[in-house]
Amino acid sequence: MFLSALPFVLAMSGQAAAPPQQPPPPPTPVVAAQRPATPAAPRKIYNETADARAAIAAATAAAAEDGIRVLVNWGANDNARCASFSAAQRAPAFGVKLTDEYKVVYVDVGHGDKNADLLQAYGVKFAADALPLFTVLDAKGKVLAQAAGKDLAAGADPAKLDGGRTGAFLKQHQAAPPPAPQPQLSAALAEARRSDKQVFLWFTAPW
Amino acid sequence: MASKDVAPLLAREFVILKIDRDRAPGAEAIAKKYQTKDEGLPWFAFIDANDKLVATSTGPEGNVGFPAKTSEWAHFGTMIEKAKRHLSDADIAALMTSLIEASKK
Repeated sequence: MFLSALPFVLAMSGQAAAPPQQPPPPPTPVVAAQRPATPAAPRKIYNETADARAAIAAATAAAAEDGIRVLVNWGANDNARCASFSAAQRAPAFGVKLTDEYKVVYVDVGHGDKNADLLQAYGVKFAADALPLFTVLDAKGKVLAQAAGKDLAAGADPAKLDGGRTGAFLKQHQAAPPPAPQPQLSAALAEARRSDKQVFLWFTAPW
Repeated sequence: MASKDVAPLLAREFVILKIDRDRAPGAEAIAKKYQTKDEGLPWFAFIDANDKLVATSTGPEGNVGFPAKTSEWAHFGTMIEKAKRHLSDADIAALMTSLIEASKK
């Protein structure tokens, strides 16, 4: 029953990969001889061609596997505050290890003209000046909370999210930690004795 | 395809327990019980039914928590060889083939 959690098995099934709308990794450096004549396009946070519905479904399945929640980040690539979230999530700005607590899905909503059906389905009210918008889902895909970036923005610089406010929102809605594993280990050892097996003890983290 | 092949093989030999080391209270203390030094994640160990360490993913070149190259596959194979009681040579060969194929994807 735990096999799907094994790293190599996940790799085989393709489920170990990050959700398709995670920010892409930094571009691979190229040697001078291979460098294109034109500058590379700026890195986009929101995949403008991704199947957002499938990405949310994949993230929800992964969240269920890890006992955590989904954070849907509805935004646009040309929005400064959206960019500030992406930058901050890699730093400890929010006081929460985001990838330990949430499967984050970036959904491109453009200027309200993209993925409008999903916004409606999740009860998100689009407003261009409110981006990014956040929806927290539980591991079954149920909406638990919503927040608008404009309400989490830094007072001095509305183009940036306030780390404290954003962190408080994330902490408030993260899943409870898993139970202490010692009883599970004792049970696994007992089962191993009963069934003449050994225990495959796998330490991991949601990320 | 591969996972449904591998699942019953591993289940023949092991009770599998996944522990969230970052979030589960007390997980780190359990990890330290089996580790001789801090290791990255994922990290895994085979322990016998009497809680005695049989093998760990710490190989000659470090932790092979996600075996992805020849030396790492070899270490995983060594771990399985140390632990095996119910798996046949053919079972282990199938396991290793799946592991190697998965690493190439």
